[in-house]
Amino acid sequence: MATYLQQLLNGVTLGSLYALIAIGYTMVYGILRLINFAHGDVVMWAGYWVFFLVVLFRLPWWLGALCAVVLTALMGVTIERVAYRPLREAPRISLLITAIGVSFLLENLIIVLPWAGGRQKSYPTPGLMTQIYTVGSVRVQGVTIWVPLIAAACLLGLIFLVYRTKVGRAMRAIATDIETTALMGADINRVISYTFLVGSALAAVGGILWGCRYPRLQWDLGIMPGWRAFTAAVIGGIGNIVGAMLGGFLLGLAEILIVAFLPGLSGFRDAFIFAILIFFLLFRPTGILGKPMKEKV
Amino acid sequence: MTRSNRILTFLFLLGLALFVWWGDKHSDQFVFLWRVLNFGAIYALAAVGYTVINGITGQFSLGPHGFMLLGGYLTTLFMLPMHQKKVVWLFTPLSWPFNQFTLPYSGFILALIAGGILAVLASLVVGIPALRALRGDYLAIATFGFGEILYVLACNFMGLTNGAMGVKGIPRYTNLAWSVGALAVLTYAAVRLKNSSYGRALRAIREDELAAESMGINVFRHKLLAFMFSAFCAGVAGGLMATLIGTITPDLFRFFMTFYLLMIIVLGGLGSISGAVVAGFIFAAIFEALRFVDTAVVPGMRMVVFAVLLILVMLFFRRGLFGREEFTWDWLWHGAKRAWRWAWAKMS
Repeated sequence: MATYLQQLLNGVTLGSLYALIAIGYTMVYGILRLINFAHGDVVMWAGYWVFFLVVLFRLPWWLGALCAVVLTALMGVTIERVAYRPLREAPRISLLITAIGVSFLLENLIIVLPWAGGRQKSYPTPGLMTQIYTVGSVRVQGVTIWVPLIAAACLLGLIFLVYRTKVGRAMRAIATDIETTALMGADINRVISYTFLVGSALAAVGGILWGCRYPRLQWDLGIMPGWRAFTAAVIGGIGNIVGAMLGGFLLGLAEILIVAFLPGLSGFRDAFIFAILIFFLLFRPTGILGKPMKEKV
Repeated sequence: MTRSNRILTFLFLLGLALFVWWGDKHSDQFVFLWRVLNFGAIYALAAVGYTVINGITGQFSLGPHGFMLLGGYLTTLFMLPMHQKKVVWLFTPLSWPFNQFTLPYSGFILALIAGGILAVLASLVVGIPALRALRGDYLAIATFGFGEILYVLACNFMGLTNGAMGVKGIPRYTNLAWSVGALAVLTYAAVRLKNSSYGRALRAIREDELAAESMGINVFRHKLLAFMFSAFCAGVAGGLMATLIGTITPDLFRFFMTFYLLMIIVLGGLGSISGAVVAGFIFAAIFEALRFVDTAVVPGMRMVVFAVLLILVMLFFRRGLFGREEFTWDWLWHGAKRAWRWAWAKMS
């Protein structure tokens, strides 16, 4: 019983991390119809910002993490401004190629930077996260409690932002029809910048918490979490924020259960993720919550 | 094609053949240059196939690294000498049928073609469902996922691939005759394909899929044809690369390989076969020329340069070198004439 509960908590932890990262994919796709290849690398950069600020500049952890969120969010906005906005009118594939370029740039910048480099760095984890709590016969680490709580707070804040504020209404309007929204007098560029700001900030929270859960930093850290989060976004119906959260939790739970109870298959874990992704793209491209789309001429 | 153009083409091929023969004979004197040319030809070969599906048909695939992996490993399994097979597969025995035989040098062409055919079969596995249902970025993700699945399988099926440790001691059969020869044959095939009725159908699909379909083009079958062709090119290129380097691991055929090919076809101009060939050689030259940056300055700097280059080309120079044009003698002729007139006007 205790093992089950523990694995369940692990699954929820991982799932909330995926949910945080998946939001960025799903919001950008909903608005720009772009699969932001660089999103996973933004997650990785958030971990490195904490490393730079806390280990190199000796900031207190909470301040370092806060600054890391701000810096990562600005990074996301800058990427959109420099690399994606000039291609707004171009074919969507050009946008995708540029996103792949940005992804490779972000990864290799880390390798090139003298303070980071290609080798593994250890992530500064605060004591709160490593502390062990004992409830009855269940022993849980701080991360498995704090990560879902922080994630839930962020996700609630996001839902408030999207459904109860003016910017959120503009985001939803753009996702429905970008041209009409522009005609209604909304500043498209500003709203898209906000979207990247919010998506990257959540990715940053995801990256920082990811570091607390798996305290090893490396340049390719963001790739697989990025793809799993993207798969979660597709499972939930891409463009759908609640769906992305749901998909993230489902995927996190499934992954932990497979690794815990069928350890022989864990080498094939990434293959399963992509198989699920391809399966959904082929047979249920709108996900479990999405509505079927009509082909437009 | 006029008669003088035909003579020019013949002379060009003759010159190329002589150069290849001479280059292979004196390869030990120009090791570096010889290697660059071989890599250039292999990249160009994979890029020609890649531009047929990405540029000409407009179906965005991100999976050529998976097809190169299949071609590379199958060619290796055919060509690796028996004693080397025993050394490499020390812990996990090599699976049947590859532990029974190995091909001599005379079977090299068979091994390359087999690699290409395996890639074509894999392209059917992914292409039949994916090309029917998906397009645009969803197709890109599905093909990318397929490539990654192949990578994971290559890491885990020890009996066929020796896992992440890779295979060493592959006989280095690839020389300019093989790499440039394969490039010439498959480029010729690609050009013929592009100029045939199939090629016109492919371009029609790129411009407007619904319109093409309503004109009676079987969209799915034409897409599949282009996809199979690109997979064959990638498979053969993978085989050539394995027998050029002499060592393969699954990591050799990861996503960055597709990134290189994407750079090549974007630089050459999406949809231009000659652009892919020229850019393939340019890429290999820059790649090797920048090797000193990696060793002398900072490792990884080369990839930063390439990533920035790709972004800049996409932002400011989306046409690439050739746009959608092809190199022809007439094109060269007109270009030279225009340049001459321009220079004349400047001088007087």
